[in-house]
Amino acid sequence: MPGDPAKIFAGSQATDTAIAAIRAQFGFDKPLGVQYLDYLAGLARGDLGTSVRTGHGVLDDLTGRFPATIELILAALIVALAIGVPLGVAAGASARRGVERFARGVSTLGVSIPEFWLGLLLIVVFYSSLDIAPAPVGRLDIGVPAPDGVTGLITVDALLAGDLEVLGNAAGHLLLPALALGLPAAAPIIRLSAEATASLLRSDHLFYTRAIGTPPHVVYLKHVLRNIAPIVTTMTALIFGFLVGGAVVVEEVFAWPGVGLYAIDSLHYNDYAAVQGFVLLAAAVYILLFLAVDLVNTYLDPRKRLT
Amino acid sequence: MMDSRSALLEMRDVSVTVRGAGGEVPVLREVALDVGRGELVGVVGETGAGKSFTARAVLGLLPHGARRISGSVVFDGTELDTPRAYANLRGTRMGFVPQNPRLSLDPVFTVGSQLVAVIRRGRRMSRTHARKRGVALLTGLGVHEPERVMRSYAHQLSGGLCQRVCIAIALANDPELVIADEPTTGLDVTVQRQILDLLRSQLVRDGRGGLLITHDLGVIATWCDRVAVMYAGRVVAIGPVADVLREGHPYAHGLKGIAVALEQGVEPVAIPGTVPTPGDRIEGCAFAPRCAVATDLCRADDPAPRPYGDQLVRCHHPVADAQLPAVGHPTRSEEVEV
Repeated sequence: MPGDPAKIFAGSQATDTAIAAIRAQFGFDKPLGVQYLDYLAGLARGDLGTSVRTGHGVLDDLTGRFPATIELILAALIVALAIGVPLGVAAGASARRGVERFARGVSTLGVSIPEFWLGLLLIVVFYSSLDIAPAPVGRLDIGVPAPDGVTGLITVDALLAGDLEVLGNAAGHLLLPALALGLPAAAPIIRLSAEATASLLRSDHLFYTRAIGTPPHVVYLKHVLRNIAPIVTTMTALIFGFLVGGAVVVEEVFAWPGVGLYAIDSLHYNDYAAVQGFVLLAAAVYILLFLAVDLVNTYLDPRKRLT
Repeated sequence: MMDSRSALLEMRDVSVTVRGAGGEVPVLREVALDVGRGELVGVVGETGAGKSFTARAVLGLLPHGARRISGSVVFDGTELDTPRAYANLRGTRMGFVPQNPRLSLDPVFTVGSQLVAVIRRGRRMSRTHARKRGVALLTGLGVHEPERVMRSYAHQLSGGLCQRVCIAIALANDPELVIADEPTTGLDVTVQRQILDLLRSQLVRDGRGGLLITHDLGVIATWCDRVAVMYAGRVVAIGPVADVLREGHPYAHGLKGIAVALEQGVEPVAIPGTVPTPGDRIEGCAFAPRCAVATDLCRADDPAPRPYGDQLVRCHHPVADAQLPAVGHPTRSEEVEV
C-alpha cells in the first residue's frame, strides 16, 4: 500500500501544517515499531484503531457491516450446499456415465467462472434484460426500512418480525449476489460429495446396509448423507474461508454494504487500520469456524467422541 | 438331498462377469447349487474362487461393474430376476451375516437403531416395541447387558459381540434363508465355535436353510450338511460333506489333505501351482495344470457336472480315496518342509 494516508485524508488542497497535524493525530509520525506496539496495545483493549476514511472506530465500522456479509455468505453457502450435495451424491451413486459427466461439467464450470463475472452476467440477464431482479444496490430498495432485529440479517429479522413485504424485498436483493458467490462454491462440494459417495458405496457397511434390506431411498437419504456429513462439514468450513474472499468481490459488484466492500474502499483510501481490522476479523472468523467444525464433527462421527 | 421340490434356494448355471481393463472378465461360471430346508450348505474355496460373488449373486447385490449374464436364482419357487423381485426379501425372508461385522455395521448409527430398523421393516410396530424385541433377540443369542449393547456403536463393541448383533439382525424377521459370508473370519477360535453353534442351531430349527461361505474346511466339516467346492468361478464338486472330502474331485481331496495336516499341526504340502486369477485364459478343466491325475482329455475339454455317488462333480476322472496320490497331506516325513 504505497502512498500517505494523511495526504489522502487531508485532500489535495491541504497545507503542510494541516497534514502534519493529521499525522500527529493518527500517530503516523511515530516510528513504525512504536505504531505497531500501540496497535497491539489497542487490540488488547478491543480497540482496532480509527478509520481515517470514515473517522469512526474500525471495530464499530466492522460490527455495523458484518451482518450484511454474514447474510450474504450464509445464503451463498445454502446455494452451494443445496446444489452441490444432491448433484454430488447423484454423480457418486450413478452407474450412468451421463450423470457423472454432467456433475463434472458443472463443477468444472464452477471452478472456472470468476464471481465478479458471474455477478455481472446475472445483473445483465436478470436486472438489465429481464428486469425481474431488483437493482444491484444494497440490501433493500430505497425507502424500505430495515427491520429492527437482533441478528442484523435482514431476511431473518424480517421473518422473525413477520414482515413478509420486507422479507421478500430483502430476499430479492440477496438472491443474485448469493448465486454469484454460491454457484462457484458448489463446484468443490460436488466433487467432494461425489467422491465420498462413490467410496462409501464400495464400503463394507453400505453393502451390509443394503444386504439387510434397507430400501434404496433410506440408503441414500439416511445412511449416505449421514456418513458423508462430517466430510461435507469440513469442506463447508474451507469453503467459508473461500467465500469471505469472494464476498469482497461480490459486494463490490452488487454495492452490498458488508465488510468486503468496506475493505475495498479502505484499500483505495490507504486506510491501514480499517484493512488490518478486516484481515483480523476474517482470521478470527476462520479460527472460530474450524473450532465449530471440530465440535460438530465430534457430534456427527461417534468414532471421534471420547469414551 | 438334491431334490428340487424341497429346494429353498436354487442357483442354476449362474454366470457373472466383471468389467475389467480388457473387457468382461468371468468371475462366476455356470454356478449351480441348491439349499434345502433345514440344511446348512457350505461353500468352500480359495481366495478368488468366487465365493463372495456367489453370496452377492444370491442377494442380488453384485458390485459396481459386475453383472449376471446368464442363469437364474430361484428362491422358494420365485425367480429373482429383477431388483423388484428382491423387494421385501432381503432382511425379511433372506437374512445375511457379513464377513467383518465391525466394519459392516454402520459406524454413525448405534447398533440398536440398525437392529430396530430391520425389525420394523419386517412388521409394523412402534419403535419402543421394536426395541424391546431387539433386546429380547440379543438376550436369546446370549448377549449380556443387551440394553447397553443396543446403545453402543460398532467400534465400541468386540468383533464377537458385533457378530451376535449381526446374527440378531439376520434372524430378526425369521428368515427362511440365511447367507453367511465368512462369518467368523477374524474372530478367535472359541468365539468362532460359539457363533457357528448359534447359527447352526438357529437355522436347523424351524426348517430354515443356510448358505455358509468359508475358506475353512474344518468349519464345513463340523457345521455343514452339504458342501459346494468352488474353483476358478465354478462349483467343481457338490454333495454331502463327508463324501466330497473323502473322494471324487481331486481338488477337494487336496484341500482336505491340507486341512488335516493343519489340524495335526504338521506343515501342509501345498497343492502345486497357483489358482488361476479371473481373466486368465482357461482351456479344459481349470484345475488340470495343478492336478496329479490330469490327462490330455482334462487339458482339452472342460468337464460337465456328472453324478458320482451322492455328489455332482465336474471331473473327467473322479477317483476313490485309495486311488489318489497323497496331495496336500504329507505321508512321508521328508515331504515336510521345515
